Amino acid sequence: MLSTRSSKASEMRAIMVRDLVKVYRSKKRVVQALRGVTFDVGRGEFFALLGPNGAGKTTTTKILATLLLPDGGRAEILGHDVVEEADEVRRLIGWMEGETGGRSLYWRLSGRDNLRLFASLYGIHPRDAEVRIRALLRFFDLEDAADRLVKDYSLGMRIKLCLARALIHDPEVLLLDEPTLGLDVQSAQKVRELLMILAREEGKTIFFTSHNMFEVERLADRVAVINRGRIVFVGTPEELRRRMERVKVVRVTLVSQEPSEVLARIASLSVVRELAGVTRRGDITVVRVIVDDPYEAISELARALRGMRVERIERELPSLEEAFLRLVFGGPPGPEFAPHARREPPPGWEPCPS
Amino acid sequence: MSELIAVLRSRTTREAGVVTRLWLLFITRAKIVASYRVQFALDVLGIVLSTLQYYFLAFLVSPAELARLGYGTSYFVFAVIGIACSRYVWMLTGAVVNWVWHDIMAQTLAAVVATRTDVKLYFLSHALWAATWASLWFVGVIAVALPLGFTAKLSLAGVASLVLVLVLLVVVHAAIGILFGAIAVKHKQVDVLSFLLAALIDMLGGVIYPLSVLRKYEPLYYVALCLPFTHALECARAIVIRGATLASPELLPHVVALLASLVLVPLAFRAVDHYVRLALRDGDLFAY
Repeated sequence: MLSTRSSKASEMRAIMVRDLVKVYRSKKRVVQALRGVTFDVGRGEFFALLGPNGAGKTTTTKILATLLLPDGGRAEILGHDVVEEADEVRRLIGWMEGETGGRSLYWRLSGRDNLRLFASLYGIHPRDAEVRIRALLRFFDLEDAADRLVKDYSLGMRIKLCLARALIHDPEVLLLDEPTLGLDVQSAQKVRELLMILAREEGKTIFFTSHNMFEVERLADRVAVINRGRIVFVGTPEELRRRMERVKVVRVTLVSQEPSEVLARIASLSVVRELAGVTRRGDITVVRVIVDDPYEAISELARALRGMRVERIERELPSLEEAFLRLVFGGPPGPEFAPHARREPPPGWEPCPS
Repeated sequence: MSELIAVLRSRTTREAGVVTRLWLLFITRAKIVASYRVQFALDVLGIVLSTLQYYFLAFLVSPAELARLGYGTSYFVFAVIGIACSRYVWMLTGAVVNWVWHDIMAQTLAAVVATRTDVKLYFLSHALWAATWASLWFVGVIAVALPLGFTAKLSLAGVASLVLVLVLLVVVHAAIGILFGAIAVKHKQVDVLSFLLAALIDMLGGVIYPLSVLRKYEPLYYVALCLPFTHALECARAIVIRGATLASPELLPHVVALLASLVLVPLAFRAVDHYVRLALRDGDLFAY
């Protein structure tokens, strides 16, 4: 009974990662890229792996794509070990690395020739490949540029071509590293729609990494957050956000008011635990404070600021980005955890492109 | 979008075989080389210039001395065969390593490894293209040399023998090129290896002077005999200049040496598996 249940569970899993360890060794230093990464991705699931630069996202993706051997632990794609059954895994996956801006294409070949070559390397007969290539080029608006050399493509066009290449053999699992990085708004939207349909209607499993929280929030069924080679969170985007709600923030928006005067009044209140940040844009001043009881704090703040031009006092719900930053960088949600309240990003963080 | 989904969902009629994949990899390399138009034009110009260079140099060499060494009376014919054959080494070792190195930098090698195709096919396609390009060079040099007085004593058996010798030359040096290319996957800039081999062959392989000259410097002579190229060139010259065939007893030691060099072929493919695995272990497919 137990074994039946366990085999059913493995049937439901598209990706299984257990205690994955990867160490990069060079003469000068040793870098522990993954320190026991564990997670599962269900069939047909849209799964996002988040983390700051150097956290281990790309290393994890490369191991799943059979392009890097782990030093410990194991990973399976649809029940096939990525090390022992690499050939079978390669049949099942479509890999795309958007981070490098489509460098992995043959730049001195046309877009069509690139797709022809990779279709054949995936084992698709040339006759079938032509039909697929036409449909992919049409979908990604690359028909007119199909016979131009890739070196003359824009960044967005190259990324679309990379995505077309990843899809050409109709893989069960898509491993996408920053799939929409560098795409214009319209193209990115189109790609997201396609990925949604592939996951929701076609049952494809999509594993992707992204710095774009808007994208993650819209697409992902579940997210994992990786930091310094360790998974620090696995759950739904909603669960990630809810984690942050334990820290209660109230935001006060004022018009034509001297911040120093406002801060003096707010700081004197016993309901305010900590000042989280102050921003001023034009004649609008926004003050964010951490409190224990937001409802009591709102009425106290309203009383204390009487006579001032207060536009709004409200409880602030954390964005997914804030929740992510708090998880990764730790500490109380000071200005560095509220990107809207500060112009400088925290150390090690690169702003998302769109 | 629905059209795309339907097309992707459709079952394929049959699989692309190994020959189709090899052909597309071969064509890819050919198109890339042809896309560098200036380089392509310079290569073609190189055929004419290097042939002319040895045509003029031939006026300085005594025909009697050459005849005494058993290489006919024309230094021009002697040198043309040498440079035409040495081009195979330059292409099969130097160019293959260069292409692999380029594909690591461009990360196209990683994209190829991520497909279902055995990476050995990728290396083989490079060797095939290098051999094709070197063969065109060979034919080009002979075509330029013919109006300048190039003559050959070739019977039908001689032509067949020459083709077989060239095939052996290609296979052995393709294996060396694939071996160097495999090492390049892990250790990156190994073009110095192919440069050293080509330089060694130019110096000791008898490209522009007869091998017998080296008898005065015995250690160098024996090093020259260790190079498969030396044996291939000796065979090629004996066939073209003296009208020998592979059945001629004088060629037997060279043919045996060439056949023995075929041991490099399985070694090269094992090296591909070994070094690609090392590169996958250390993340070198993405490092340059």
